[in-house]
Amino acid sequence: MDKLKTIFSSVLGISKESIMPELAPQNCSAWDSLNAIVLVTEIEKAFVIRFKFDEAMAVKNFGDAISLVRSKGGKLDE
Amino acid sequence: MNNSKQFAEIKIGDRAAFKVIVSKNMVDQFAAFSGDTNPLHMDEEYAATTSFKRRVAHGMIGGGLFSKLVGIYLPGKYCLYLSQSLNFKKPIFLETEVEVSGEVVKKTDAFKTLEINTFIRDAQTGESLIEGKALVKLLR
Repeated sequence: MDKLKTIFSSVLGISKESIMPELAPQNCSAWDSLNAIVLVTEIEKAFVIRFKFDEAMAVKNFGDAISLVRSKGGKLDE
Repeated sequence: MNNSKQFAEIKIGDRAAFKVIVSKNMVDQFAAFSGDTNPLHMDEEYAATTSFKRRVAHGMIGGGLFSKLVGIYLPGKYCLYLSQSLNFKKPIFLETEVEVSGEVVKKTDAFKTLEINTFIRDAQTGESLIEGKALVKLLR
C-alpha cells in the first residue's frame, strides 16, 4: 500500500497520512484532470501494469485505485 | 515537416531531434513579447560584469523549442501538450547552435498519452544545457 500512497502523495502534493480510501477529486483540489492522467501513468510504471480507458475512468477515489491495481496483479504490499 | 503519426504507430524509444541557432534576434524577440528584459539577457555591458561575462538567452526559449519538438516532430500533428518540466543545467549563450531532442519513454494507452524525455544540448560539444520531461496526449 505504501508504494501506491507514495505515488498519490508525490503527484498530488499531499501527505501520505492524509490519504484515505475516500480521497477523491471532490475532496482534493490537486486531483484534477491533468493529475488524473499523471496518476495513471505513474501507477502503470510503478506496478508494471496497464489500464484500459474504461478502467482508468472508473477510478473515483483512492479505494478504487487500490482495487484496480489489485485486480491487475499489482503487488501492493511489497 | 510535420510528423503525423497516430498513437498506435508510436513506440517506446522513438526519437526526434533538430538543430537551431539561439540567435540574438531570437532573444530580442522573446524579450519583446514576454516583457522579460532582464539585463542579463539584454545588456552586454551589464552581462560582462556578471560571472557569465556575456548575454545569456532566456531559459524559456528552451521551453519554446520543446514546444516545436512535440508539436512538429514527436509526436507532431496530433499532439496536445499537457505538461513540461525544465531543468536549466547550463546557460545558453547567444549564437550557440543547440540540438533539441526527445525520446518516448512511456505510453499510457488509457489516455493516449506519451511521456517524453527532452534535452537541449550544445550541438558542438554535446554538453547538456536543458533537460526536462514532456507529457503529451495524442488526439488520434
